[in-house]
Amino acid sequence: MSGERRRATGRSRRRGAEGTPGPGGLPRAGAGRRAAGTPGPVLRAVGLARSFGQDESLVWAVGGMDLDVPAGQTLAVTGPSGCGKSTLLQLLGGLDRPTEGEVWLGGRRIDRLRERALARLRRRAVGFVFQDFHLMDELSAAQNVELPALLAGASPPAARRRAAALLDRVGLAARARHLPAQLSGGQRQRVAIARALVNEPLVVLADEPTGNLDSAATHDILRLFDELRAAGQTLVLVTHDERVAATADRVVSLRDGLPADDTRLDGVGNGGGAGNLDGPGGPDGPDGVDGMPDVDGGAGRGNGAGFGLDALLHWED
Amino acid sequence: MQDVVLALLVKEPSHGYDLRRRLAAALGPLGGTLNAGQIYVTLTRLEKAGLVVREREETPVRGPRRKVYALTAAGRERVAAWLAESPGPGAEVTAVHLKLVAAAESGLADPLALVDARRRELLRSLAEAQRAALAHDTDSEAGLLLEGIALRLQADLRWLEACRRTWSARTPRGRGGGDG
Ligand SMILES: Nc1ncnc2c1ncn2[C@@H]1O[C@H](COP(=O)(O)OP(=O)(O)OP(=O)(O)O)[C@@H](O)[C@H]1O
Ligand SMILES: [Mg+2]
Repeated sequence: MSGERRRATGRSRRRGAEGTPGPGGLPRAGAGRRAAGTPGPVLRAVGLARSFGQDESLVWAVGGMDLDVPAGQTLAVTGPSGCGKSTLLQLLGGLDRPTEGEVWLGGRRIDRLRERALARLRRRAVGFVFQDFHLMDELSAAQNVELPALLAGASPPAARRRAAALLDRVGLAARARHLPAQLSGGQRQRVAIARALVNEPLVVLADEPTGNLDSAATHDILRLFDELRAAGQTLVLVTHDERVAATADRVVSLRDGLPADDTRLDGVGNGGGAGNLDGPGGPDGPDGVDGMPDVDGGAGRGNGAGFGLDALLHWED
Repeated sequence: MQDVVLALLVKEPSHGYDLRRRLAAALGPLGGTLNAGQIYVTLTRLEKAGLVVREREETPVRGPRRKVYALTAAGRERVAAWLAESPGPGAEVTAVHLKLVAAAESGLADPLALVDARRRELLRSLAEAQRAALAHDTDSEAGLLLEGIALRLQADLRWLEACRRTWSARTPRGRGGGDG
């Protein structure tokens, strides 16, 4: 099972039959995979483009994008409605095929895979989270989480164990037997996240994961994502909520299917102290969107305005 | 207000009535109480500081004679410096708005570039506030403050998105004219 999964994602290093859970039951996705040693991004798009319709009604939903998402990074994709966020996410996750360009996942080109192979890869290497949860109404929370594990070939007891650990992890151990209809929106989304994680995906792709949630439930989801990131999970979040985007390491804004801005946020506030707004510095490598200005060397900082919390707490001077 | 007035003089010398008209157009109802007298007080101060000079007097067909003011080299330098300076994370909407208008009117800075730079600054501030908020109990006093800061930054970012749309429709790069 696990070996098969490794092969499916183009890697040869074996782990324990069910994968080793990280601290708190979280899979050590990123950490393990970084150690597995394939350099290069977990997810890569090269000249990625997708059009719909033809002639008069031709629309380039994604207009030719280069994008690298290194292991362990949380990338937020924002932009106005219709700018191509969902289309991009579907292409990255192999739910849709590009008109032009390439998608690489875990070092393997996926956009040309046959449907069956692609479906298998998706199940094992990608965890999807949607705005409207996409849970199976007639299955309990635990069964919803188990299902993709079973489909990927896990034994029923192993799937149950993983589902229980993940539901515990998302704070829903006591709700395992509840049907989705018996859960709040926030709880449903936490079940959906547990489900997305059950096969220890290389990357979790989330499309407006907090779009249907109030601020308290959003807070819970963001805390969860933060823990995932700490555990090394690679994450791509599509969101129109600036507060959600601000929790990412990097925010790419799309406009008409092309990146219009690329802001790095890793290194912000990590020291807990004010004024710690130093950018990632040089050695982080060239994982920017091609053709974008070097934001961190530009106007985004170094203007002496003190954009730490310090400055914010003295608004009324 | 001094900096905005200076910025309005970059392209050509002007008199108080014209400055008032342009400011009122940019401010809408907020500029309702603005009168030419206030503008002349500001212009007199700027003149004393050596940032503008009284160039000549204009005699319109009707009405009083008008003093026409022009920017000095020092005045021009000050506008450029002001435009290059970030308004800070807590700046009021009106102050940021006037700066964008001043950038466009003076031609000394690209309003879209200012919008993008500010967006990045606020996003970084929001990242810090949001990360701190996640680390604090929502029920704590600190958590409550961080929630307020994050909501306010979010509102500012949303408004900047509207600024980006409007200013990109107005700059030559954008298609579709913004001079409705
Ligand atoms: N299946 C489709 N057929 C035709 N056009 C499509 C299809 N899917 C997307 N589009 C078009 O592609 C563009 C991008 O759509 P997309 O759903 O990716 O936007 P989005 O950024 O996710 O928007 P939102 O924030 O509203 O979810 C839009 O113009 C949309 O109409
Ligand atoms: Mg969408």
